Amino acid sequence: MAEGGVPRAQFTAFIGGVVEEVREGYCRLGLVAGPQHLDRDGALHAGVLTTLLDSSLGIALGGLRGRSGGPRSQATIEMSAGFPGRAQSGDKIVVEGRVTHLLETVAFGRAEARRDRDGEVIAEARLTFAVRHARP
Amino acid sequence: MTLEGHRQSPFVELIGGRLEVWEEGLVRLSLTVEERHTNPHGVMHGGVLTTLMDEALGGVIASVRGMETMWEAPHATVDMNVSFLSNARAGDEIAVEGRVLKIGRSVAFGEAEAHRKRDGALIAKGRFTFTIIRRGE
Repeated sequence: MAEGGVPRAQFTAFIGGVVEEVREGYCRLGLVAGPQHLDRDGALHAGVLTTLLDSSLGIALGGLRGRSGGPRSQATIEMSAGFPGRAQSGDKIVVEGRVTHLLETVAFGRAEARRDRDGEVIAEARLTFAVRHARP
Repeated sequence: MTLEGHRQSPFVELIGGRLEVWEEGLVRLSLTVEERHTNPHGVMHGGVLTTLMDEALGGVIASVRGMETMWEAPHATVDMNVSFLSNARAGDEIAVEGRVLKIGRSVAFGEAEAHRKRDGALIAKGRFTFTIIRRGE
């Protein structure tokens, strides 16, 4: 559940997502697509990407938790994603999430997924989180 | 139409999704939430729902287009928007239904809802757009 002190969703770990880097408001995840990650058509299932896009921002927000005024907890309330590319079994996928705004009750972020071999963007997302802040 | 012959995606098999209904215009999947489906707050990860919604909608569009047509010109997700209205925890059963809004020549639209079975609560609602890939055109 935790990797290098970073809380990681059990589901993300279960599907094979690996936390590669966490900075304040930023997280990078990696996953090597295997046959178990595919859809009926033999391409990477969109659900793998939406899971990683959501997790990257959840972890990025969690990375702000230690900061004064950082969120105590958060929950995804909206996700919009576009899928301009596809990936196949054997492709490594790199997902980067960045928190763009952290407000009193909500936070916003953007995330994108690239194929590592050629840097092609295969998914991009905008997410909104409900947040609760730690009391001083 | 029986459920036999309607293969699920390997990824949906991996996470434990079950195909419950496959009719022309309606596909329903279900899943029993386990610890492996949760996030650090102990609730079901949003990715479980978006996966099942995508699968249900890909299936229901196939149910209307017909499997033979679909193999000749498959459809793929290009856009999705999901609102997460409530949550589910380990032990909860959830059901996800997909319905077609419109199928055109090059794009198809659908919407999906996820409910918690114990109380019927709507926990997520999504709208998805698919592109129809006509090979050789």
